[in-house]
Amino acid sequence: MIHIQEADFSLQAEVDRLVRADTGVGGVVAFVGTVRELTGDRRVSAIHLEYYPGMTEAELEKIEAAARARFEVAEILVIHRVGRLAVSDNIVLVVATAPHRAAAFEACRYVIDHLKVFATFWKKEITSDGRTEWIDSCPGCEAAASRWEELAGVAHTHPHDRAMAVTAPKRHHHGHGPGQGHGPVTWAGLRVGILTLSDSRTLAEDGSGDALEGAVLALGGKVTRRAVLPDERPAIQAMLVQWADQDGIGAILTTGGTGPGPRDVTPEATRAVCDRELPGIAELIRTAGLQQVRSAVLTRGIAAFRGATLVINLPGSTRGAVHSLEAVADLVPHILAMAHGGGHP
Amino acid sequence: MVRILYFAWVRERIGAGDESIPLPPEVTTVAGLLDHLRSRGAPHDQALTGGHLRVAVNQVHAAAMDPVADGDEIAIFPPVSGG
Repeated sequence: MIHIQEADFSLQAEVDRLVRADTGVGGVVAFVGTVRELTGDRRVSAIHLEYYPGMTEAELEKIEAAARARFEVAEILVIHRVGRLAVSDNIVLVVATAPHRAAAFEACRYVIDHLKVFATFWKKEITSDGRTEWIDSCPGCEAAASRWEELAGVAHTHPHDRAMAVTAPKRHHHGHGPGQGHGPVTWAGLRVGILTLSDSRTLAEDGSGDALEGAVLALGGKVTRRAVLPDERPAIQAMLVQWADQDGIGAILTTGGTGPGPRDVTPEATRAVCDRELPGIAELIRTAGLQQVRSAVLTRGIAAFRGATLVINLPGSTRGAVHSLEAVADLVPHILAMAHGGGHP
Repeated sequence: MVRILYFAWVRERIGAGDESIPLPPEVTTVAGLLDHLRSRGAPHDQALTGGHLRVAVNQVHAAAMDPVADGDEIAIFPPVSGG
């Protein structure tokens, strides 16, 4: 929920309302931004906030949607005031509610970090001697927003890159994934197969498979194979072998069958048909998942080669699968280049 | 025609919050539009120079080489400072 208004807000009233509206909520994290009196050596008596009607709401809605996709939150509320505000007045409220506190903390931080860099508001300070000065962007803010993309391990062309200056001088780019930094991640030219393992799902109701297909397309890759199989090793192994050996698939993403349940056999099936493992990829996936939910460490997925085809086991939940893919997507082109005999760039 | 919106100190230096201008056929990118606006002389040449300006096309953050076309809404503003 996004509100832009001149009127003040009450933190307590908003929190009460959000908690009462949803009995599944167990944790609430709120950020309140207020008007500070001292900026450097200037004594501020008031500020004036203007915004771009239409675009500001759209930017905030995009940030909310991104936070909802990434974190298991119940509700996100942003109230941002505009107009003339005095010292110590409320400026902005960001509230995230969730069943568990980790998501609430992360989502609240994510939203304010991105608001600071993308949301089209501009602050003018009015000092006690009547002078006015427009505030420059905060130098730490762009780094803070970029950090979220680095944590996801994705170096794709982010809207942040588009918000870079269009006038002189050339600025140093933030926002590149660890160890990368030479332009956007692209899976261009990569033929990908998505294999969903589930005793209950069909291709018509394959949420995580669909979400992965969307993610691969967004990375520039091509999904040439999709299938859903029950949790039975022989059929899984046969499918992996066919896709890698006959169907020219460069990367196979499996989703499901990676938990501790007795029918979860995806890692064993993968290991049986592959020759070389990449334990670091699986560890990166588990580490990324841990940022969201502790039970992420229970996923037993592996990443391994069958010849030059990379197989990556992803969790079965839609959010887990996409989040895990994002954690390693930037490394895949590099891995495949090396598997085909190319050295480190 | 394109509609151009100005915000914050850009608006103050231009002296107006918005204007509509015809889009010359040779102007096809954000950078080209800024050059064209500056070429009109004062106050645009002063207002649209330096200061790490940002641009949005149809309410989406844009980069220098992004296209602009007839009918677009283009906003020019300093780095944002909300929150």
